[in-house]
Amino acid sequence: MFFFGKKESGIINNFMKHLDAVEETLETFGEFMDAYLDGREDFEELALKTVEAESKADRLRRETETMMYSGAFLPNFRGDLLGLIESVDVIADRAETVARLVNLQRTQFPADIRGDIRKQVGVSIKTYKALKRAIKKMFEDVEEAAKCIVETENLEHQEDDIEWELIKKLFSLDVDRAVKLEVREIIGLIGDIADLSEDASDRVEIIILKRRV
Amino acid sequence: MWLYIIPSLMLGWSLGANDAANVFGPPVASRLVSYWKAVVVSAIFTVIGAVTGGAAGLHTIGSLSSSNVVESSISVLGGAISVIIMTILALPVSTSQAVVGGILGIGLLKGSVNWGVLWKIVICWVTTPIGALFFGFVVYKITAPMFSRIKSIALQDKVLVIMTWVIGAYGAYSLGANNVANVTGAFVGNLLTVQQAALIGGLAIASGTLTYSKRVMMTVGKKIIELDHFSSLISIFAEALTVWIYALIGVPVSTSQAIVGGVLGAGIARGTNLADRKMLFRILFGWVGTPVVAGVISAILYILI
Repeated sequence: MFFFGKKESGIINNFMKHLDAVEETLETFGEFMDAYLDGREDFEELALKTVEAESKADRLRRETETMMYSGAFLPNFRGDLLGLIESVDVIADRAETVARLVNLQRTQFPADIRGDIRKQVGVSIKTYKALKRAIKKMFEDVEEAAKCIVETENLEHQEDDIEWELIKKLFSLDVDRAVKLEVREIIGLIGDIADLSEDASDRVEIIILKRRV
Repeated sequence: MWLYIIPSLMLGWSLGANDAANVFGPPVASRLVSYWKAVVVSAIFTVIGAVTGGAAGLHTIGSLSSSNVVESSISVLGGAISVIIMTILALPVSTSQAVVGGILGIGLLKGSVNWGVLWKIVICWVTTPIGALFFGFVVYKITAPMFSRIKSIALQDKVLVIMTWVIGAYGAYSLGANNVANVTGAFVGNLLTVQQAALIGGLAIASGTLTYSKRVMMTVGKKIIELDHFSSLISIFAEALTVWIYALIGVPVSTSQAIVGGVLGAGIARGTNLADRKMLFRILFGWVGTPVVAGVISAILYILI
């Protein structure tokens, strides 16, 4: 960060805090899913914590965006960075949505697929963590960032495979069709966490490519 | 007596208003640097360029045709009027080519054209875009791998901003050194000394840059920034280098044609062909159409006056 000016360093610091807040949202969401799938009593409290963590991420996003209007960074990079911040923020939104829906609907996950759901949640969060590394590296070393982008893409593919296997397994079970449809929706939304992380990593890739001479 | 140089001052003002765009257009249009800082730096370096590097060009234009003060004034007026008319008609126009045309118009009537000097000038016109294309290509090929080695985007941005100021100042210096001869060259030997011509011409160009260059800067700049920041800076450097070399040789050339060459060269080096028929027409018309129009106008003015 040595080469950045004061304004730029302030924005990057805030953006890093935002990335941490999104990670915190996802990890709290992971704990919520574990508690819910285990049938523990603290799941409601964890759902609330997920919502709070997402609000914190939202606040940091707004702060970072306001700071950017002060004219930091070269103009063409400013737009790219704003787009990237927005695209990272929707990942936390999606985790919050799942936590709220599961908590409100009291979704009945069939026992046979609970392990797979946990696995899907875990890989989705890992995909986000790879994205976070890519963004951090983007400011320091574009080549290292490119490696993290590939890692994000690989994890997203892995999650995709898990998701389709999970849906296949779900529909082979002898459970009510309404339950199947409700669970499938939740599986899709969990998968969005990995998909959106990959979308954001595409933005990082474009930023790097635009700078290639 | 000093009234005779009014057409020169008009021409210098118009040159500064139009041609500063070829130096600072892309970085200003893409908001890499602010307009006001850019025009102040541009104006200062244009004057420095005119005063310290404009002598050779001033001698060349002064020796293109032997003329008295009135004839010089009419020549420059012919050039200035043709620049205005062609700008209104949206035809490609270069001040360098208009002034030479204006001097030739009267020189041909009087039979006083120095053909050796004219050939030197024409050869330089033709080789301007070609030279800039060459430099754009070579400089891009040499510097792009070096720039790619910068891994941090923070450092990349810092380098781009520093490059903008260094290349911009050099471009403005070259513009002043090369193009001052268009403005006051016709009066060297019959009204002004080389030093006076350089200072007055440089100040006239700087006044145009400071007061009326924003619109052209935005238009030209936006066309060139279809390239990335780095490539557009290399294009400007190629233009500045070419124009500076011709300032050393002592022949005023078109910065607009040089920047076209620079853009094409950098474009080819990065694998994009940006040339089209319209661009070729504009350059060819600049070589032939502009001097003919200016020559006819100044000849008519000479006969009438």
